[in-house]
Amino acid sequence: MKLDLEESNVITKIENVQLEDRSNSKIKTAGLLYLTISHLVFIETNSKREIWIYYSLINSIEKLPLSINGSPILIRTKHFLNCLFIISKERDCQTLVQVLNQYSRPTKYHELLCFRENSHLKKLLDSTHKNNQQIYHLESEYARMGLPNNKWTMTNLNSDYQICDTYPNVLFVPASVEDKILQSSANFRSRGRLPVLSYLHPNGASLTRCSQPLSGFNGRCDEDEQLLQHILMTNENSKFMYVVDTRPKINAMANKAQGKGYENETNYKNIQFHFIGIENIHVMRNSLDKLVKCADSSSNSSFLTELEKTEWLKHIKAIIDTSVFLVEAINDQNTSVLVHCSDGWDRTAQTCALASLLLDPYYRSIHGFQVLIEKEWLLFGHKFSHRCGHLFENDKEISPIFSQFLECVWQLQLQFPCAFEFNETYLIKLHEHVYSCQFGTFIGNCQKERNDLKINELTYSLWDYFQSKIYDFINPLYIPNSVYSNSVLRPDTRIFSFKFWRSLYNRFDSTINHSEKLIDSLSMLSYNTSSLQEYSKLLEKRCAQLKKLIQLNKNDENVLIDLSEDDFEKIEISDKNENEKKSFEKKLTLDEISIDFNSIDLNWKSTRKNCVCYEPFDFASSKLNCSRCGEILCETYLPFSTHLSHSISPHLEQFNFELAKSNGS
Amino acid sequence: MDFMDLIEMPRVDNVKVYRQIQNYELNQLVTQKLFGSLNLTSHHLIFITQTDLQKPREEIWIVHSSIDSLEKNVTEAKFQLMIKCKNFQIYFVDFPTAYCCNSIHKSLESLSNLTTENMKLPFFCQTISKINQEDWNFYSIEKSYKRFFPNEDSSEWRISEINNDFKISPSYPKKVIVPKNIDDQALIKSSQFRSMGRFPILSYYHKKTNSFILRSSQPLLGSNNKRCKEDELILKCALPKGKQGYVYDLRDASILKTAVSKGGGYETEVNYPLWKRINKHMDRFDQLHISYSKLIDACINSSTQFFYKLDTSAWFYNIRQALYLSFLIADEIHNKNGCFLIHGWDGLDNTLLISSLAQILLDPESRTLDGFIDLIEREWLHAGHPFSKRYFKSAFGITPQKQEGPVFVLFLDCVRQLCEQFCLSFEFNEDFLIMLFDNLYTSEYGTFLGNNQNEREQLLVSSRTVSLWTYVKNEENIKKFINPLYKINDDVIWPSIFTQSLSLWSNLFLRFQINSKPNDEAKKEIVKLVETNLQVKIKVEKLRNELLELQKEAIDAGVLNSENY
Repeated sequence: MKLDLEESNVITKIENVQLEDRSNSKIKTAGLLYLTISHLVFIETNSKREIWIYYSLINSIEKLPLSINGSPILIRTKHFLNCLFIISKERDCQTLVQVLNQYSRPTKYHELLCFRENSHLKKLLDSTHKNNQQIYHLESEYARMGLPNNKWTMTNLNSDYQICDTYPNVLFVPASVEDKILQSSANFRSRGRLPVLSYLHPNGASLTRCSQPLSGFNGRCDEDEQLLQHILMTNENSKFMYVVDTRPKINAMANKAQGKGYENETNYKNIQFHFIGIENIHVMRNSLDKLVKCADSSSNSSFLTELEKTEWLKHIKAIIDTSVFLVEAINDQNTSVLVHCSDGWDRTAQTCALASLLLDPYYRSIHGFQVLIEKEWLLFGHKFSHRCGHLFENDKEISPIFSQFLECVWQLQLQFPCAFEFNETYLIKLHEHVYSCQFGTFIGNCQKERNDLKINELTYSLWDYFQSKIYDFINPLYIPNSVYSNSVLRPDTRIFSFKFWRSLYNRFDSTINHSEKLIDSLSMLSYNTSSLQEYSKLLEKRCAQLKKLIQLNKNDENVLIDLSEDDFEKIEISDKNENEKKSFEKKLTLDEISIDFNSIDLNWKSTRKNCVCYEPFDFASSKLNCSRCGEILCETYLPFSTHLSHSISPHLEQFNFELAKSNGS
Repeated sequence: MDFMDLIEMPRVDNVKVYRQIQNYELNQLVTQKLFGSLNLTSHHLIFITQTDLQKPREEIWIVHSSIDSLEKNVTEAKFQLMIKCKNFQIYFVDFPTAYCCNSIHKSLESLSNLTTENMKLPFFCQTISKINQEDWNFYSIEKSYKRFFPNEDSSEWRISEINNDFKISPSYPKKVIVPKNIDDQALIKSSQFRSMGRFPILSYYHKKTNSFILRSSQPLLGSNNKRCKEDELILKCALPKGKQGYVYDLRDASILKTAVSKGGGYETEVNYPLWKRINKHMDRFDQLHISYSKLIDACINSSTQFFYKLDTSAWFYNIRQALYLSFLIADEIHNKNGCFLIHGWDGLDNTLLISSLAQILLDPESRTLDGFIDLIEREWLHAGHPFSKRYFKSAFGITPQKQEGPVFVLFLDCVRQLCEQFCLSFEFNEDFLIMLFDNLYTSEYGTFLGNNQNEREQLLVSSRTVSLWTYVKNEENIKKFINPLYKINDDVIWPSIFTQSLSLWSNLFLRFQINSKPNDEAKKEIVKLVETNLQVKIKVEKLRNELLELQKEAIDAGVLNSENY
């Protein structure tokens, strides 16, 4: 999303800057750097190419050893853009670092981008959507599962976040359980995160989540044990339930010494306790650091060995393996599962969300996926701002937990190409905007915090933004009723099924990504089809009008003169609204027919061609055809192009606009 | 020798067969156990399950020549034979007695290792379809010549029939393209100076820039530094003014001395002043065989350190290297002024690999189905790639002569990588490449028999066997091999050669381990998308014509005016 440089507040300009090509250090492009209050902008001297980097996306600023050409500065972003700028004057370099340090490290929420005036988003979203922030109500999602019923009920015990400030204010618990028990269980669980319902399977087996018990070496809590019994009892099909601790056993043991720990199987009746070793946030953070280095050193001939050493795919496999375990317990064994890790907001969120996604095809639709993220991640208190480093705080809290979830979904998309309504681009953009801070959706660490920040009133929602660009995100291969997408997904979790996510980690490396993207070609093909379908309707209408005209002429020579004003326009347009009717109440002329006729170019350019504006450097940005002239355009270029007056997207709204225009003036 | 002499026991009852199959519902590999009888025929091992009221009878047919290796495991309680096939399928067979286990093992060892070409399967499969001579003559050098030089008169090249009786170079075809100014006598002299008589011939001519690729074998310098004026003349004559010649020697510079001491050598700067020699290392076919075995081992035993094992197999190194070298050649030819002579040792393996890959990058024609078949005929079959020797065994086995080396498999994998990177630019699809792989090792068709044209003619392959292209061209079959998204791409394609950009060929190397159903579903969906699009286009065309006619009619009738009023 680009802004006009004129509009942005430019703080300073740095001249004589060179951008070094990451794959070939010999290639350098000269240009200018602009520093605005929110962006770093690089504009190439010889081409129109521009690179806009949001400060909020900057991950690290590294001053490399001085070279003959000047001072090199390597900027790495959270969405994996690496730019090496060589600045000829040392003084400019200091300015750059100083400005970046000052502006890219907000310490208060209200300094974040999403709380600033954003004319572009205002234009884009205010016109079409109003206050759509609340697409999600916890109650309606549970209602979809058939709740409340005689087994499960809604409790308002947490309506003011009094028993757990990181949970939502509405919770679903067994109907048979008393508030007193819930209260005591909350006291016995780390940060009050007591066992509550996450997903209810139609067979009666439930997926519940919580944090670790404060058991220490031999502490126990009657009420907590009772609560588990109540959960077990809601499912008539099984005599026992699983309690899954997603941590490696050694980590859980270490927690015992701090008065925390895990459930003692002898205290809880009829539970089967399992440790499944997913590593903690620090291990994941280090693994990602290694992965990014591995992806960056693209000339590295032992890439696969380096990849093995990062253990990243091993961690991804562990998360999917655990989710498959949950799916098999719930779907195949009709057995309920309670999942926790330490605080129940990282590994628990990952595995509960993935298990739901595997179990229920609803979550594989665009809307369902948003609901899933709202529920398991946002409402159940995944600490987005801490994990993503939205504010300049504690580095040790940062960890790619949610990114790992997105990657797991991507791995599933690879294995089941027809099972998801959304495509890879959706995941990549979601990944970007979780970090970008342009939208309020992922700001804060829990619902209470977002309420306090008045996120809904003061910021735009990412979901609304996505809705406005929905055509970029639809998987053309999606089959809602397929054998694979309409039932439980059973991914292959042998290690060879896991792939390196090139389009994310090498998103901006043009030399690494494939030249002809399958996903682009397919999207374009279905754009083209739907746009031609609209076009054929228009042609049919014109044909019918002409036929009518000729027919009337044959029947009665005299009708000719005042024909189109009244007679058939009424018949044809009777279903249109007043405004459009006005535009139609004009004479049908040859010019108009020819305008209609040429409103679409039948031979769209192939996606292998680049956008007419400049070489694309973001491989996640989608290419579109202008439906009128058939040229290839990229999404960054679109808002500024004259093609905007052409009909870009085939969906009805814009096409009607085209219709109205060609008839109206 | 008769097949029957090799079969002691044509039938064994009470046999158990185990194989791994994919349970699609659970998306898991499960071991399937079958009971029944084993039958040996001259070309097949046929396993038939016992008749059972509940289950339909099942048959497993294994062609003898598809067996890569046999491992016998006979203990006091167990008489087991493990059969590893060339297509990576593995069977375990439990016999009732040690005697029949030994007997079948012995028979299969002989039957699966028959070296007599005449006894191979294609000669017994003439009935699968009619022998079509046209398919055997799919490739002709005249056609290639015309394609490279539409205007013969101005061409600097000619077709020579010097090798008509395969005497000059037994592994070359009868006719070759050489510089016009070089007479046949010079070719004979040059052939005596080149290993296996493979003198420099034209492999590809790039019309857009008038650059070309020649290929040959190494020159036979030997330790007394021989030279051959005629050979030098060929290279001198071939190179037009303003072009830079490169000798691409696919051997590491460090082994050139060894080559010379064994009677081989390289083009010296002194004797070939217009040509610059560049040494680029490619693993030889025997090393490649080891790489291939390690790759398949990693795929089958994938539980630990999978990526590390993949890396150490060096298979990806070989893909990268092959694509990289062809990239460099294509770049020189298309963007600069380079012309090439490619060779390694004998010019039978890597030379053909690099030359054909460079053509795929450069030549849009070779990315069509027909063009690709033409390329295989020209650059592999007629060029004398020893198919019979290289693909006698696959990843599990090797003969004592160690002539195996999956160079063509590497070629297919490289082409697949390109297909994946340029999903619109290839007319054929991955299934076509997998079909080629399957027929490479064991086939009912005669196309890959023998080691060169000479051998194929002696075997009367074209009159006694059916061509693989007859199978491909069949209307029903050809549909399976066409990429629905193909759109002609007249440009040179520039692939990415980073390891991140490459992928493991899972539909081949993991074919018996992965669930292909979700991907098949996607393929069907793509075909549907293309068809719907085509239909709506046809509809729109029709409507447009209709509108134009109506418009004309309306103007003629005077009811439509081109001016606003």
